[in-house]
Amino acid sequence: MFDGVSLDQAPPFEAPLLFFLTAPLFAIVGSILLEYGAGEFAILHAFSIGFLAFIMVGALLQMLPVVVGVKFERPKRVALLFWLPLVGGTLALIATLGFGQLSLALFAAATLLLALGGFALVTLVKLFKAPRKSDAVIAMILALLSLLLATLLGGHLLAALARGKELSLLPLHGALAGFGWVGLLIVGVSYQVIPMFYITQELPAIVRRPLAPAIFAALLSYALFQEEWLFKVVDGLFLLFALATFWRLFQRKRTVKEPTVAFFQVAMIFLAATALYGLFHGHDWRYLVAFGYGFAMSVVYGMLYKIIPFLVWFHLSSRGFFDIPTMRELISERLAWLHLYIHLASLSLLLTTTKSAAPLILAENLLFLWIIKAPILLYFRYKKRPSPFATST
Amino acid sequence: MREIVVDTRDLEPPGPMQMVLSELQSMLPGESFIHQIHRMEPTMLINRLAPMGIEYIIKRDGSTYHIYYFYPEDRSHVEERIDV
Repeated sequence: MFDGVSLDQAPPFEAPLLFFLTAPLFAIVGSILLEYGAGEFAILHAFSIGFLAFIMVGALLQMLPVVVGVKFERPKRVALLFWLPLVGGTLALIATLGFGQLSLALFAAATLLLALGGFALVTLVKLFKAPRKSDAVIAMILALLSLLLATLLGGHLLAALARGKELSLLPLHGALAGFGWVGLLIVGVSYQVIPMFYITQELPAIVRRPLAPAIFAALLSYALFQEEWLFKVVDGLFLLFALATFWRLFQRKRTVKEPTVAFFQVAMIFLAATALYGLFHGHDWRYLVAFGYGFAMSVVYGMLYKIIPFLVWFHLSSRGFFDIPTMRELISERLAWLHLYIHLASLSLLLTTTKSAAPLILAENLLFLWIIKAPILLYFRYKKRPSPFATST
Repeated sequence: MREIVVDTRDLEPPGPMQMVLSELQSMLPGESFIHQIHRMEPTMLINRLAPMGIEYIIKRDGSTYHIYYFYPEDRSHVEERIDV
């Protein structure tokens, strides 16, 4: 007979958690920079690297072993090895771009290359060896290739900035970082988590299979030929993803209203609006705000309100604890709804008056930390107890 | 061999994993195997079971996945039963 759970593939919860908890702190830094009118590129990177990249590296550290079967040896040490230069590099980048500390530009470039470039490279090597490459895995591979290219371009841009040279490759860096790395990773992760957590059908294979390779091909073509219409192809493909995903969420069998589903629906509405804005208007700062804050950050909040309680259950149950509260009991729905309303208010202000959004961004990230406190504290409380598996054998 | 059917299509996490892990308690070598019916490939569960020596076969029927879990020595019996 089967005799208990053993040899778990999952990395310790502490590895992704380190990244998940750092991200809202950088969003708070971003809100303070916004309030005090620091340089726009410093603010952008506080959110794009400080918030989004931290969440995404953390999510991949968690997902790759359990979803793909790709393992990192000594996961806690690996997490710390990427986290330390990522924190140092992000702070140095903010100082360089926001406060003109050009002497820190090369330090920022080196540490971010080590953290993000190194992470992308190591993970890509592991993913190429994966025995089965699902559509989600292919999207992750393409996202990591984009991250690698975007990081190399970012390093080049910082070196050019330090030497006072022209920053001609800026649009390519932005396109690959935002739409290749962030966009494609969300596509890949959504393939996995939306059917899993929201009881929906998968996207039709005719959409799911070619979507990520088509987005990546369009982005690369844009990088090579720098024709504006090629970026409109990217917009069209993200519009298709947004509409198909929104339709799946609309069709879901369970009709109970949940804040986490609402975050995903808001994200898809903003992605569709961003793509239409790009197709018919252009690619200005509002386009970036709607994509980054309206789409990507909404997905992240919605996803974490599911993933954090699920991981707490997953880790504690694998140690034999089955008397823990349910996933739903671990996240306060009332406060998560409040978070969604603050998020929508801060987004509206960001798109109109911009600077006045700072207090709301600060408030929503403090609230987010407060909401996820309950499952995290529960995990550490149980972790101290001896496993029932150990005592029963 | 006895087929233990577990339909998890309408369950949200961690329900599907809980049900299969629970049914594994009654799966015996040479006597039974589990047939999970699910809306997607349960990759987390599969990766959790692989190190425990439990094998699996996935069959897809439209948007429904049929996942069969069994002990390695029962593979030929299960393949015969499910017509692989």
